[in-house]
Amino acid sequence: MTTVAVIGAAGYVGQELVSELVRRGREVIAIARPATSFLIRNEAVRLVSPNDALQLPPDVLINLAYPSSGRSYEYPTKNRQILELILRLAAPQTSVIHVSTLAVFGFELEREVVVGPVSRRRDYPYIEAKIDLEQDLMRERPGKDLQIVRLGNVWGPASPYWTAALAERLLFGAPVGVAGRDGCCNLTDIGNVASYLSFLASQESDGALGFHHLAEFGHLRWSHWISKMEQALCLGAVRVNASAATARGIASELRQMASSLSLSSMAKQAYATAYVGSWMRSTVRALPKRAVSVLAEKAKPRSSPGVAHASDALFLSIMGTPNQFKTKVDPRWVQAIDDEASWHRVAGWFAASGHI
Amino acid sequence: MIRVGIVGCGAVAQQMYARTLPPVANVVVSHVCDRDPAAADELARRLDAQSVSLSEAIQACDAIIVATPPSSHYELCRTSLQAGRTVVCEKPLVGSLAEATDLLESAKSSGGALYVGHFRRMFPVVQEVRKLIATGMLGAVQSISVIEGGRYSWAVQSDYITSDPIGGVLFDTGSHTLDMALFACGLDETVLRTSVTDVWRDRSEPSHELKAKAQVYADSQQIDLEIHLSRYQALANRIRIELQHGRIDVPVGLHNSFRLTGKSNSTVVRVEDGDANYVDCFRMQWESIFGSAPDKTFEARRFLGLTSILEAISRKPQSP
Repeated sequence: MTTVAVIGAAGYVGQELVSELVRRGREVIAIARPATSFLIRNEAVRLVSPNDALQLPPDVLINLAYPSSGRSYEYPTKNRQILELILRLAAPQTSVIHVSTLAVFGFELEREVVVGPVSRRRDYPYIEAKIDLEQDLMRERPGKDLQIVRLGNVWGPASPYWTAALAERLLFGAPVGVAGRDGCCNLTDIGNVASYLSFLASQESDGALGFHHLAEFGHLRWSHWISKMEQALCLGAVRVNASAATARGIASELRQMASSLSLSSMAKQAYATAYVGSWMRSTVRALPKRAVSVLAEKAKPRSSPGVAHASDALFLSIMGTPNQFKTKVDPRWVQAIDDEASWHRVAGWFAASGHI
Repeated sequence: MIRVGIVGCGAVAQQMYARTLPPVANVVVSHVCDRDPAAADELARRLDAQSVSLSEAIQACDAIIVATPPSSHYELCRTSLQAGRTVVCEKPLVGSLAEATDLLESAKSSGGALYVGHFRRMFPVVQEVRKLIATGMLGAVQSISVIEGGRYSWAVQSDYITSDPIGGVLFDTGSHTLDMALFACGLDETVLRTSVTDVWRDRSEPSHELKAKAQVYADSQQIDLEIHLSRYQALANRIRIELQHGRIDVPVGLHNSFRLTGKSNSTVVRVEDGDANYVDCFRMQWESIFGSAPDKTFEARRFLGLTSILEAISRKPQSP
């Protein structure tokens, strides 16, 4: 029986993936921090802590872990720990599937999308960390089976960053978009993510480096989903005007920058040779084109209806992206869930989770 | 200057107290202690404090903050109160009304004072909803529904969430959410009686997912209460308060708005200066307790009703 080890098994994708692998008859080793291992309730799974050793290397190792919490200056250290864990658990013959994100091409997909390696660059700390881990794995496992799977925006029942967050925004009148900018949703359903990763885990290793992009609903616009949500939740969506979104956006970025530039954090960043000043670079780069909007905004009342909250800038820029993240997957894979079925799953979750 | 000692140097102390206590003008964190000496030493270094034993901390400090796993709260608070100290206990206070009452007695007899760190009371939206309901324009509260869920990700440094009888989602998350609701409804200064009708939990306490239905009696008023909490998955994350003349939906997290629904219409109410973050709200909590003009928001007597509801639900066996 194929043994599949999953790093980050307690996460949103991890839990779904583990269930799918078990359903397909795989022997699953779920690797999760002790504090969150209770989230994995599948009794057929063998639970281990990142510090534990495996008696035998797995046939397939799927990595879902990435630096997701704490300060940005800690990301390189966390990345290194994840890399070391992968290298410790994977034998030379182990197939490694590393799950990454469309954001390696920028949150708005403003960079050229290539189904291949992405060069290291200065960007948001999250993006830098994601690119670095891809690059580190390629460097450490040359000539060995390594599949890098970049996911679109993962949605589905209880998806924290999309389904749940959008429903909350609708309920409390937070903006879900910018008027006149109906961006590409670039979504992938959690069920399809689990299905595709399980499919890859069942393929014979060919010792090659492969890249996969998964966003099977990428051709749909956000309005497709939001209008369904408005109807299901009996709520109207708020969309801000463009100048308000950018003006509040810069305010948000400046505020974040200021809060991250305390003396102690600057010292720690320098000490850790981390993503020094990523926020600052992002912000400074953005300043000239937004400066006019900032000045215009100052003349407006602070809480006029439809004006974005200070933390909305990045979210709104993603919602407005005109760029589609095109799916590039193994043609032998059969998509498990189409957009209609995906919506029904989400609508069912709305009912079960107190939204309706 | 108030000398503060922190007992328990885990996640909340490291992530919140270390960032929010030093800026409070008349407070200095002088001592810290923890069963894990390394954790105590690390926090002491960050705060320029001394790492000491519990008895040394109590002896040396004017105020003690208890931030240990929940089942240890009662003993630590009682010991500190009996020494006449001001005590701030991290939520949840204790697991039973009897223990809470006993602690209040200890405070009274020794000249100490007891507060509970339910910092979400400082959320601007919660404060605003409390003011709105207090006007009486919307009539009496008829029912409260609290729903909060999210995949557990807190960097907890002990195993209390899986081993402490009052470390389950009810006391851990639910104490926050229910307290927000009671505070917003002005029910935090009222004697409450609770009759629990249904409870479902994923496992015996400490549970990770729980649903409950109850009736809460405040004076002659009956309020239907419904609770759904989860550490497994995201839920609607809102408090719904049904009043005679309308309904209010309050976010459980930090938003700058709430939703007000009448018989034929619904609108979002934005709160001026509602952009506070968690750090701001923690600081406001410390100012309320230790500041030059302290108020009574966090006094322990205002959490007796909350404790009684949590106790009643936790003791109710699983419904068939």
